[in-house]
Amino acid sequence: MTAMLRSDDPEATLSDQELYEFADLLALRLYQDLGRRCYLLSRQDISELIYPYITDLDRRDRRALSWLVWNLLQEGAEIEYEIDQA
Amino acid sequence: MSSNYLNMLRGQRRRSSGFQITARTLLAILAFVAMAGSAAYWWGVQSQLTDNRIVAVAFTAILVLAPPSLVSFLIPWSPAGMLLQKVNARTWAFPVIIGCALYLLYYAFQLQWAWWAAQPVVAETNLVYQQVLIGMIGFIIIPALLWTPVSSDELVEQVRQAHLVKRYELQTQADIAILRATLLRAQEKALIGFANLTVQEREELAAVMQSLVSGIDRTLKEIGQTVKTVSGVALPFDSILDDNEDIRDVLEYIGDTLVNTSISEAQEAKPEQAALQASQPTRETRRPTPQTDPREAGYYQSRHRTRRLRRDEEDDE
Repeated sequence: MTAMLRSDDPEATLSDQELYEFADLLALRLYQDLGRRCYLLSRQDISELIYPYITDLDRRDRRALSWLVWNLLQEGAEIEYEIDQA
Repeated sequence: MSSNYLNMLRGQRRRSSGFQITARTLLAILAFVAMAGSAAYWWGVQSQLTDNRIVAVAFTAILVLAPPSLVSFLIPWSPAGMLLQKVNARTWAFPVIIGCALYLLYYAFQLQWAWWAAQPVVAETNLVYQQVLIGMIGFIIIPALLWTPVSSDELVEQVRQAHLVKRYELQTQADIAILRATLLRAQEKALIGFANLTVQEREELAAVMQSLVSGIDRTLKEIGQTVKTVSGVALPFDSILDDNEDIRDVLEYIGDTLVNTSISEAQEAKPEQAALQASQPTRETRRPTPQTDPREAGYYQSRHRTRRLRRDEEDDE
């Protein structure tokens, strides 16, 4: 997963598209590993869990990714809640 | 930007809320269409029979709704429905439902037969009965199959009530058997004669009398509880005998008289003899008459008082 984002330039940051795709992959991975428990994670927890995958990224990207993954998981929680209500 | 993760979750929603057409769903659609057709058909027939539109509408409504609903009681479509039908078969309503359903089926058959027989093409091709049967199935049987007479909750409740009634019957029978056996034993003791009973037998007799009243009281309480459960009506059967002061006094008096007489005599004897006597059947040899016995004076006083009160009440009336 991280291979596709690896860059030789340490100062390089990811584009919005790349950030979103990466966050999507990370959210999917967290959901597969933790199931519905992933909805209970705080942004700090998410940062810790995804840290091994984003160590070589820029600090701003790491911060953006934790927020993006958290946001995706919250959207997923809303969708599952609607499924339960239906 | 689309998310694979969110798409996966949305896919779950589509799967979970996906509409599946089952035979039952198809039958529901068919029943709906058939009933709409039934309304049109019966309106055509009934409006020919009378010029009064209100009467025609009423009869149309009856013929569209009543036959399927009544026939639905006769065709259960679940194991619980079968059980409920067995239970309901013992009620008065069930023969009434059968009678009404059969008459409505007969009426629908006759009218449809007459209508189809009046159609030249059908009459010439001898398809009257076939057409009528198709109408009977479509207008009555299919909607009846779809409708359930009661909801699942009502079904569970009715089956539970039937179970309660059955349990109550069995319980009452068992209670009666126990009471009968106990009474027989008490009668045997009475035949021996109270004076010749051993201490153990007197204690038993006193306990029998106590437990008889308690047993009747318990049965009444259970009847009241069952009636309350089934109908929601509370009956005042809560310990009407057991808590009754007069009955309790009389029972305690009889018990004390039966037991204490021999025990007190045994206690009057020497301790070592009393110990020996307690293990052996003890017969009472001589006893003062009840009226002269000072121990029973209170009882006779109360009996006189009761009689006097009863006489006063009779005089008042």
